[in-house]
Amino acid sequence: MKSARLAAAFLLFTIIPLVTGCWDRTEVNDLALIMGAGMDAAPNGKVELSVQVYTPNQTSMSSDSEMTSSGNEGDMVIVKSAVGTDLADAAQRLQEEMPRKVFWGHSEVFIVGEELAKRGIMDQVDFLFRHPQPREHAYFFISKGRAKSILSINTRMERDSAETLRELTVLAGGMGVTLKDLGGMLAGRSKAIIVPLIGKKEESGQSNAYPYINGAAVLMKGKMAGQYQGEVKRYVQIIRNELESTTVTFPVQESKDDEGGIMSVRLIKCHTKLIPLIRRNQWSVMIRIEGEASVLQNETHVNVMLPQEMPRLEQQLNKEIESKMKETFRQIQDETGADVFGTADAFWHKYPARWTKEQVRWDEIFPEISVYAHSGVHIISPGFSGKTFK
Amino acid sequence: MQTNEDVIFSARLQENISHLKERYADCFDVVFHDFSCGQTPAVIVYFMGLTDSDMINRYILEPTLKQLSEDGGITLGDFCKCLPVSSYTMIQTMDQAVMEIGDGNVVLLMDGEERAISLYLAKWEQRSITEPEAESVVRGPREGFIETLMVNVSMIRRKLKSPDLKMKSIRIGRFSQTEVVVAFVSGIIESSLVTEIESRLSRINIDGILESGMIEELIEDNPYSPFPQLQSTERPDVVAANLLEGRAAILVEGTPIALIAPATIFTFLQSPEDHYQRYYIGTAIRWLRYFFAFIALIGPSFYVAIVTYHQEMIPTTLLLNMTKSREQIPFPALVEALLMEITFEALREAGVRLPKQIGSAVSIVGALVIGQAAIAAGLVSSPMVMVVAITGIASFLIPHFAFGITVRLLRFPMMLLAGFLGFFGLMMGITLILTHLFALRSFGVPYVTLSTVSNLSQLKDILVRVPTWKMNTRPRIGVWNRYRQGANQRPGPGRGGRRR
Repeated sequence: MKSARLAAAFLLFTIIPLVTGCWDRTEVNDLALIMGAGMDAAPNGKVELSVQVYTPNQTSMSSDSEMTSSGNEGDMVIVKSAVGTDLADAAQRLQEEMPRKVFWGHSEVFIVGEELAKRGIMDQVDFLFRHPQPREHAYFFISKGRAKSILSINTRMERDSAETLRELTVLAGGMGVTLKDLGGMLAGRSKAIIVPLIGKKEESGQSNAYPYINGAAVLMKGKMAGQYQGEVKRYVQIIRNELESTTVTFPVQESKDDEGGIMSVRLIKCHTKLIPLIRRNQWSVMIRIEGEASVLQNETHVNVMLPQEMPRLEQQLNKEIESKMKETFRQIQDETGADVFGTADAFWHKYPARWTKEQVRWDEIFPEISVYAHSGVHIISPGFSGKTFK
Repeated sequence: MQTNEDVIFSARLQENISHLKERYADCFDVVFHDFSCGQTPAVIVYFMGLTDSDMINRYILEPTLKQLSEDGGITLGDFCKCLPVSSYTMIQTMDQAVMEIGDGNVVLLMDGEERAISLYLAKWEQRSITEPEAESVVRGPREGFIETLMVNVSMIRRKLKSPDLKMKSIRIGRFSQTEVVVAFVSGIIESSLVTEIESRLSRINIDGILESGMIEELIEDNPYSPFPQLQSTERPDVVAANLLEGRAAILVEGTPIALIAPATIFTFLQSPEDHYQRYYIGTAIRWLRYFFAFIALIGPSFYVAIVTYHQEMIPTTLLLNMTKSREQIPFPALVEALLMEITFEALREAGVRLPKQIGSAVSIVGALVIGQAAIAAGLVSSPMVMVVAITGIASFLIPHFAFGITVRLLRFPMMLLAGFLGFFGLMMGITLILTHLFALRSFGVPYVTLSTVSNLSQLKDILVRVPTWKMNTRPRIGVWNRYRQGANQRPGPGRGGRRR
């Protein structure tokens, strides 16, 4: 009797999971793995969603989708796109065209086209945060031109263009902004966003194009307000304390009768801090940078092996850094009025009561802030070579 | 046999003999040899093959015929004194006589005596001592137990010469009358443990004991548990080490496998060699074993769960390759895993049962079945072959076969749980197993001792293997005779000469 009941219980427990008939498993070969996604503006206020889908076999090619094959034979990514009233709608349309289940979990980059960025990204980004699958560690970019054209690039060096972009951000100076960072910036006090701007470079025709990080795009309240390339972008990153090491080139004035020359140093272990100050209704901020440097290239007559030369060199290096930092800060203040440096947070930290009172006026205050800079970088190494060739 | 009333010997030889002959009816191998001891008629009874007939001739019949032929009536007591046989016992009843004869001793009955003597002349063919095959070590003693109980007992006695090593003998089995010895070191062991073991053994009422595994099943704490609750070993050094830690050993006549009680989960994950190699190596290998025991349990189920439910957890590049290799596979990952694991178990079983000469053929076929050919045939994907192979290796890292096979068996329900419910099912399975393990006891000692540890010194032979000179206290099993060695055993130059 007892054993019969035991057997019945056992049968019940084993059969119940089986008789339901629902088994919501998804095999990996039933997934359409999205490697990267791009969002572009479409006519009539609609959005075009383009996705780079990994297809393991060559046979399934549809004629209308652009197709790029990466280095390995057999592997390829295809780019598919759909237009919808919003991103979720476009994603649904995309799914309807796809024989496999769309899987966002491995999408490593999200690109927003320039046009859509100017229209505003806030509404579309909401989808990426609300959907359970996209990773918060995926990188976010704004592209010059259409995002779809970046996704369609056939890269030679990496698996696909999405992977290329991810690798680019990992490298120093690449300025990676993940969805998580983006969320932080969107919800932050300054309402300003800075994300890497990517472009497409063509070496010789379409077959040899590749994506690269062109600069930084600055967004104010979700709308693209400006873009910065080269040195400005680098100094923005220095002020944001994002770069631990970078190269700084500065002119060296030697003695009065000499014309001087140029020297390049590599900054290492540099650390930047914003020190806010409010005095008689005058808001100001001091950018303080500390760090070490080693000489990379010496085009002057200065013998960098001599310790007594160092204070003079350091003074000129710091002067260069200070002026560049101030210049950059002012340029961004004037052109976009977007506080991409985290100044708002610094003021909130130091003057919480004042900040709470004045925060609604921050857009007016920020362009009026006066900026000071102090650089305390020490040259600690003459580099590998001790000789001065001049 | 038990139903017969025990009969005390009568003074008339003829009556005793006829009684014995009645009990040994239809036993062709029993020998009743009549002779006369002086004027007194006497009979020796023994089994052919169990007794050394050469010794009977030389030490019983020869001296009897030579020296005692002239004398008149002789008593059994006098007779014993002039026999050149080292050990004998006086017996009073028929049942005792039957038991002694069954053991291969020679029972001598004499007319006019209400007792008999049993002379220890048992000798039969036995296997020579060989290296234990199931528990081989690189460093350590090479001898293993054999099927003869007395030889096994002597091997332990040779390692522990103190009179504190006690051996208690019990006979179990209505027909087999198997001799079972409980060995322990008094002064270290908690006496209630011995009492408990003896009472559990005495409860056994079974036709025969053919192997210690039968005893194990009849005395364990939780008969429904898949986990072994007594450690089995064929190594005398393992038995001796466990006796010195306050455990008891159960040796059974007719099998080279001894039982050790109580056991914890960690005894099954330790090899005797952990203590013979240097302690760094011992510790490292022990950790490797813990890690792979875990893999052996959840390896395939983890893979199945991740591939069917949690694709976001796979590194992207790996996922792309897995997608590619799974493209042509007709089965769900769960079916694929079950197929491969069952095949692997079948191959393993075939390898164990087959004669050694055919074994190599099985391994060649096995390499094809679980390997490139299976992938080429489109039955399984290559990552699955990898997972099955790693799991197979992992389960062989568990040094005790009984525990390893339990883990291998539990792998299958785990796979089903993972295949139907993903990580949720996997965690359910792990929780169930852990709950069971923590509730399990072996002779009152918790199976997972970690749960009861209040001081770290209990972990010194579990998490790590501390050096021998640091292992000052014994593991705690019940009442605790704490110190296993003198303090300050650390070696080094200058030590020993000076006293500190």
